[in-house]
Amino acid sequence: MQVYLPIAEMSIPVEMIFLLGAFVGFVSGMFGVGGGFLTTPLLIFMGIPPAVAVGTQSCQLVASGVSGVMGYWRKGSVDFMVGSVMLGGGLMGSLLGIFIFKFIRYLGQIDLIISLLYILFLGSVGLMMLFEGTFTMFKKKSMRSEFNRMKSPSLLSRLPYKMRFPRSKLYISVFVPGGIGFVGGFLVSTMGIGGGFLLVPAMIYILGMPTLLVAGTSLFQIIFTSAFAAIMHAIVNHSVDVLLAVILILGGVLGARLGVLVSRRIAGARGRVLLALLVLAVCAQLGYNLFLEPSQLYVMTIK
Amino acid sequence: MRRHILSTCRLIALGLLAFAPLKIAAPAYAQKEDEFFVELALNHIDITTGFTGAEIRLFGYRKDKDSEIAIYIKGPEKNMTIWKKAKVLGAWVNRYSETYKHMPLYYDYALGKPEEDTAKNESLFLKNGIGVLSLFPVDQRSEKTNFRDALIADREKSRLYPIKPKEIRFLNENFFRVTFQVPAAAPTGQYSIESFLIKNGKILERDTESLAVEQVGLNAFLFNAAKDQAVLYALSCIVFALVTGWFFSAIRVKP
Repeated sequence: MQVYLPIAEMSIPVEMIFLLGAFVGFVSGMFGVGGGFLTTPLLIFMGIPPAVAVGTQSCQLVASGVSGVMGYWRKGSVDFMVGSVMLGGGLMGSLLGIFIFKFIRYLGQIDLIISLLYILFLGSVGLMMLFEGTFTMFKKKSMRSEFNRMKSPSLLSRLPYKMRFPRSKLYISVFVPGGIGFVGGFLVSTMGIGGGFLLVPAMIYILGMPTLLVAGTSLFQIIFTSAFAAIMHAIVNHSVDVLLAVILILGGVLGARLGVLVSRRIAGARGRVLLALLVLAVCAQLGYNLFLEPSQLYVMTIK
Repeated sequence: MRRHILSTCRLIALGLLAFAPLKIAAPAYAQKEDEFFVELALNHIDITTGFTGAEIRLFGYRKDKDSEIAIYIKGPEKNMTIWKKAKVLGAWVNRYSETYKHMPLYYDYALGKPEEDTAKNESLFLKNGIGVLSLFPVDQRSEKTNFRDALIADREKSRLYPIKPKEIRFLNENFFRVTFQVPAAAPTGQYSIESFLIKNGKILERDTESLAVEQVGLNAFLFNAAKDQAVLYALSCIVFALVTGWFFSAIRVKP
C-alpha cells in the first residue's frame, strides 16, 4: 500500500517501512542500541531526503527506547543513577553537536564527513567488540576484569567529583559517565544516531559497568537525548515526518518486544559478537560506497 | 473569481461545441473568443494520503487548421547542482560541480507532430522554453555536456522530465486534447502551462494557464502544523512515541 508522506512529500510503500521499523526495533531490543545507525542509511537508500530521515528516526528512537527500557526495567537491569548522569552530559553534547552540524554543512561535503565518521566509529567499535566477544566465547572468561585493572589506576580514577553508583557497584568521577553521555549526545545531533553502538562498549570497557545493566541504561539515556534531538529537528528544520514516524514506531515497538525476549536466550558474549558483525557489515557497506568507483559518477542536489 | 467563472463558461461552451454541429456553432463562438485558447479540465491537483500520481488534462481550440500548436508545463523552479565524483585520497567524493539556476522541478511538453514540428521550428522552440534543452543556458544547448546530460538523466529517471514530447490529439480539425502525467514524486506548488499557436515560424497567439498542486485533508493539516505549530507538532510526535512505546511494552507476553 502506497502512502504519501506529508513532510517528505513523497509516496512510499507502507509494508517496507513497517518491516524496516520492525527489524531495527528487534536489533534495538536485543542489543540495547538505538539502531539509528541502521535506520538512517536504510531510509536514505529508500529515497527519503536525508534531513527527514535523520529527524524522523530520532522520533522513532524514543518509542523503541521506552519499549526496550520497560522490558529491562522489569528485569531490574536499568541503573537510573548512571543513566541520569550520562543524560546530563548527553544533552550538552547534542546541543554542541547541533551547532557543529550547521558549521560542517556550511563548509559543504557533509555527506563525506558523515560517511567517514560512520566508518571510523563503526569500524573501530565493531572490531573491538568482535575480538572481545570471540575471546570471551572461547575462553569462557571475560576480558573485562583485565580491562578494568588496566584502566582503573589511570587518569580516570584521578578525576574529581567522585560518586558512588551502588547499583553498578562503581565509585567513579561523574565526568566519566557524563563524558560518555556527552559523546553519545554529540552523535545524536551530528550523525542522527542514538549512539548506542558506541555507548554500550564504552560503558562496558571504560566505565566497567556490569554487562547486564548496560543495555537498559544506555537505552534509558537514548530516550531523552533522541527526544531532545527530535524536538530540535522539528523546530529548526521542520524535518520530522509524523506519518513516517508512526509507521516506523509501530514496526519498531513490535520488533523491540521480540528483541528483548530473544536477548534472554543469547549469552552476553555471543550477543556482542552478533552485534559486532552487524556493525561491521554496515561499516563495510559504507566503505564500499566510498572507496569503490561508483556506478553513478554524477549526483544531483536541489536547493 | 471572475476569471474562474469565465473559464468554467468557456469549458462548458467547449464541451457543447465538441458535440454540436460545427458549421453553426464554431463561427458564433469565434466572434466572441480569440483564434486560439486552451483550458484545463481541473485547475488543481489534490495530494491525499493515497496519492500515487495524477493526470493533467487540457482541452483547446484553434481556428486556423494550418497552424501548429506547442504546449509546455512547468513545475516550481529551484537551483540544481550536479556533482561529479572524483577520487581524493582513495575515496570517491563530490569534487566538481555545476549549478543550474531556476530549473523547473517538473517539465513536460506536447506538440502536434513531434518530429516534424521540432525540425521546422527549432530555434523558435528554444527561444520560448519549448523542449528540455530550452531550459539550459544558451551556450549549453548545442554542445553536449556531461553535467547537463546528467541532470536530464536524473530527472528522466524519476519521470519528472520527458524523454520525448507528448503528442497533441486532435478531436477534429479545430479541437484538441493533451494529457500530461504527473508522478507521485512531483513537487508541490504552482505549475504554469504555456500554449503557443504557431504559423510560418511565428507565434501568433499565446495562452497561459496555471495549476496548483497541493496536499489536502490530513496531509495538508500535518504539513501546515509542522510549519506553523512546530513546537506543538514536535511535542505531539514525542508524546505519541512515548505512549506507543509504553503501551506495547505493557502488553505482557506470557512465556
